[in-house]
Amino acid sequence: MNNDVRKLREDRALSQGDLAKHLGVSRQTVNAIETGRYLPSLPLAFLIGRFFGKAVEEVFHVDEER
Amino acid sequence: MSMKSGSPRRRRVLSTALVGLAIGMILIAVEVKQGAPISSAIGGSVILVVYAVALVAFQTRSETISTLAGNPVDERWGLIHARALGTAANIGAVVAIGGFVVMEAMGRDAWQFALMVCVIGLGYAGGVVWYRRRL
Repeated sequence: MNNDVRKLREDRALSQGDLAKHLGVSRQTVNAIETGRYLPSLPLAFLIGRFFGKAVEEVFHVDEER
Repeated sequence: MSMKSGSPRRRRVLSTALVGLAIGMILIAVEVKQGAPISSAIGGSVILVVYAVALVAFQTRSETISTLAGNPVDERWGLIHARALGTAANIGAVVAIGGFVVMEAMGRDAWQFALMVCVIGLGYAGGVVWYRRRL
């Protein structure tokens, strides 16, 4: 599973801390999601998609090689 | 400070700190009752008291300390908390089983280790049954 969270965040000139504040999580958690170390729960994934005005599947992508 | 004031997070951390302080006080009372000097009893409990004070003092500055206080700040820290608990339980089980085997091999009384193994095993089985119906 990979995602476009970093790109979407940088496109909006937001810091990880700004995004974390909007999502109600820690900055480290945003970093872990961006680097793929942590897969967010479904509610948090929906929250992220909604924040960027996109559907969940537009932000998170299944790794087709698996 | 009233326990009714502040956020739920702060109240939970204060509860944890108060439990730590209470355990420290109980340990001091037990040691004094057994005839230990008060200074020695306090010295033996100082780690618990320092831990409790540190939780209150630094819980808002560090997600790690907040998690150590049993109050993870978000779902990822909740997962870290759960995995750390699992790791601690595994280590505890290995130590308990190892202690039981060693004590038995030495021909000494091993009931404390047997009790620990029993509690850990029943706790795990109880947890599986409990969460099977809730997750």
